Amino acid sequence: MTYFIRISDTAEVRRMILESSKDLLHVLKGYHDILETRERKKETTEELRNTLAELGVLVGRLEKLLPQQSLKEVERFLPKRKKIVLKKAERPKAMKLPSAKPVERQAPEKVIEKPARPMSELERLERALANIEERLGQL
Amino acid sequence: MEQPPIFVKIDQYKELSKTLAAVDQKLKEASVLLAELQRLKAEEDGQLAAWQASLDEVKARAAELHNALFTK
Repeated sequence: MTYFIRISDTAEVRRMILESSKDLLHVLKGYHDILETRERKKETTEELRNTLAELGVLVGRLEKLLPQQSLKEVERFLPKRKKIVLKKAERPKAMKLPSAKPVERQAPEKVIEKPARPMSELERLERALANIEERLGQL
Repeated sequence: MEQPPIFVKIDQYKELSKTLAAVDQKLKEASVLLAELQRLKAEEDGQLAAWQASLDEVKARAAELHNALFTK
């Protein structure tokens, strides 16, 4: 069965169809632009990743070149200052407390050894981060 | 009382200085690349927004066409 539809304003309908086509072509062009931008973004991200990796190597080298001792360790070599103690009345001797019962030591839990598997890049980074945080905590 | 200064021996001073300069350079490069990435992200966001606007226009026109053709 064939239907006939009356179009009152044919020019307007034609204009709308043409403009829709034009807009869709713009969308397609936009799609290509986005693909191009994403490609550039990918390249830049890769470049940044390489730069950061190189930076990591340089920082590692820097760490080796710098003295290994922490400030606390260095302070051991400084001459010790004498403490000035003001004489006071003799303090009463501390009372001896009954010796506490020795705490029973628990046997260390057995560690189940897992088969070694190669560390992923993420695990390696996490371990390095934990190591640095631990060292920062010691400062 | 102030703490006396501590002098620490650095064996490879020149090497250290060179490495520090290289670190500085790499940091600058990373900063430039990050700025470029931010610019590209903004560009992509702009393109997506334009895309959305175009699609909205097409949608509105399609609705108008639908009205013109199928509404009595």
